[in-house]
Amino acid sequence: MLEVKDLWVTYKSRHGRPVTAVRGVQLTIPDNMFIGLVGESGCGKSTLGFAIARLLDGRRNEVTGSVVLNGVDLLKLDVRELRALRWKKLSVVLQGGMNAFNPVHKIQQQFMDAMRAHGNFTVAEMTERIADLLKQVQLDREVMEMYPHELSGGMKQRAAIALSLVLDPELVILDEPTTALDVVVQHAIVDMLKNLQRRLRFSVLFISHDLGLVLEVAQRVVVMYAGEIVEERTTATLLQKAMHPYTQALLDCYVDPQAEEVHLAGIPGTPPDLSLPLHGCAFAPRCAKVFAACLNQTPGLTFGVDGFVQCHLYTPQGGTTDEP
Amino acid sequence: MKYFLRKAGFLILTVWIAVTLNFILPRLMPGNPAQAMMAKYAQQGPISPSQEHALALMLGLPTGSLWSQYGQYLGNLLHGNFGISYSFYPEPVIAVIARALPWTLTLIGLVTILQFVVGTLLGVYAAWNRGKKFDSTATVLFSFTSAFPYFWIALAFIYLFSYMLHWFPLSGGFSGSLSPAWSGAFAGSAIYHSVLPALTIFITGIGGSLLGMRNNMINTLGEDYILLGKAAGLPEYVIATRYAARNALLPIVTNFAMSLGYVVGGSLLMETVFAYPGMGYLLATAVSNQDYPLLQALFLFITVSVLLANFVADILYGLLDPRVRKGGVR
Repeated sequence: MLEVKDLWVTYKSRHGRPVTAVRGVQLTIPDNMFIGLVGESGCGKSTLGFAIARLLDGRRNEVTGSVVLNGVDLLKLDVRELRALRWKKLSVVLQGGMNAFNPVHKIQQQFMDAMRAHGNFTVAEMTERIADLLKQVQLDREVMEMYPHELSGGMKQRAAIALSLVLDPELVILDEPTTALDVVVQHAIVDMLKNLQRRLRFSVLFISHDLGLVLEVAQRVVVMYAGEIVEERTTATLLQKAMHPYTQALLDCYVDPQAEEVHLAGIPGTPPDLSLPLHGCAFAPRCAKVFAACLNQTPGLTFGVDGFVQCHLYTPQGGTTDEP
Repeated sequence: MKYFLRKAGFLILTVWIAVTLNFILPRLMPGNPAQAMMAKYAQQGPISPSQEHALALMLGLPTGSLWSQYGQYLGNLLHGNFGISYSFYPEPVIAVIARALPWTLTLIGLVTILQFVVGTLLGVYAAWNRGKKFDSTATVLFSFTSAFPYFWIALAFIYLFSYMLHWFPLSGGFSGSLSPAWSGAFAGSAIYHSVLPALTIFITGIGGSLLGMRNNMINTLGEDYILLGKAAGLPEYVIATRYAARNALLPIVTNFAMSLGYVVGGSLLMETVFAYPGMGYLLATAVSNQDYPLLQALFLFITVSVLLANFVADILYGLLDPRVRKGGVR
């Protein structure tokens, strides 16, 4: 189980103001859980994923808070301890996966590099393991002997997923894993990922800007806006009734393919400048249901049976008695 | 293998074109050396046709149809017969070149390799520790040294270390009291004479390799596979060498192999400043003495070695980068 508490990430900048991309995030990822993290570009979702995996360049940013994976605070580990834990407990799949493989090595080489860094395996054991994983992501055994440039985008992303599973991690963070792929391949890969997760019982943090895709695969959905998590619920209840106006607006961006008349709604306005401190609710300037309290008071979290929402509509100021 | 054969075929074709151009170009120029000399003599008095014929024979001017000349020319090339040098008359051109080539090859060749290896390694180190002390010092220092005009630094070194301090000789490739031989004394003298030329080339050249590698490597460090290697907990030296440096090296290897090709041409500036008995010095001598046979042979040597270096670069690149090997297939 992974527990993120009060996580803040600030990008330092030599010129200009520092940008606080993640603002006091609380997030729990239970074992064997598929969590989707959605939000528009620049909302800090990738930064959050990278901060959890401790992949941010320490010279250029500051991370505070705690990221506790099974009792170990990742933010407190030194380089050596962290390296020992990487890939065994926590692995990542990067955006598109196009450049995730070293172009001068065969695919199997990188699997072997990762395995050798964490244990003593014979070549036969490694080959066996790689072949098995490739099979699980529906790739031919021959892919082992291929170079990255010989694979298609979809094949590369499958291989990258296989690579992330090579040491049986407890948590896999996928950052926009299918964004660079076409819709058909995208769905095939996401379905495969879901099956793998169910079978091998690891946890997934699936970062995407595509709410539709996330709703298809995730058990729980985390919605991020301007560096904060504004709503977190099970997929089923979110689909039934989204609480936060931002989530509602995101859902409105999707069109029912059965509808006779198509009405496309965007979200007016732009997200706030993350280099400035926020007053009140970050979404207030774009919100259709904004009222006085939203502009000068930061909303607290309102917890319901299956999650929480950060919105004044559900605080005493909002006057609604709806349970989120 | 297919890649290798294709490149080898290309090499043969380009060498043939270079050789043929070397044959055609002088023949496209109006007049010939005999006529030029005749014009000089004619100012002193009339010249009989028999004198003209004698001169043509002495210079070895070609006779017969263009095709038979071409055949003769190719045959001569194969036998290493480039004619007689005018400025070192009556020595054959090939002997003159054979005397200069070892000097250039050993000194400039070794310095080029050393400069590349050291510069690249330092570049890797600087990029891996970018922003730290060594990187910020080296970047400034080597931008500075690589911007020095070569002749200036060479003259400054001669003034300081040879003229003022008498640590090293002023010029030449070996002591005037010795003659080239396989002896300890001669080797010692040659090494002693080569220190300053080598040092000056090294100093002005190393900055390019270091900065080139550093910048390439910094770009490579931004790639996803580096981040993934880190995320996978690979040891740092694996990421630095097999992931980052290995990929950053690819474009640099081409430059390096090309620069090896130019080694044969010698370093005109260095050899002039130090009066070093190499190919560059020879080229300068040939130009100022209008030594056509020598010039032609030198150009051919330089062209062919650049082509050969290109070929080596292609092969190296093919070995180092799997994407290039299959280039023709996809």
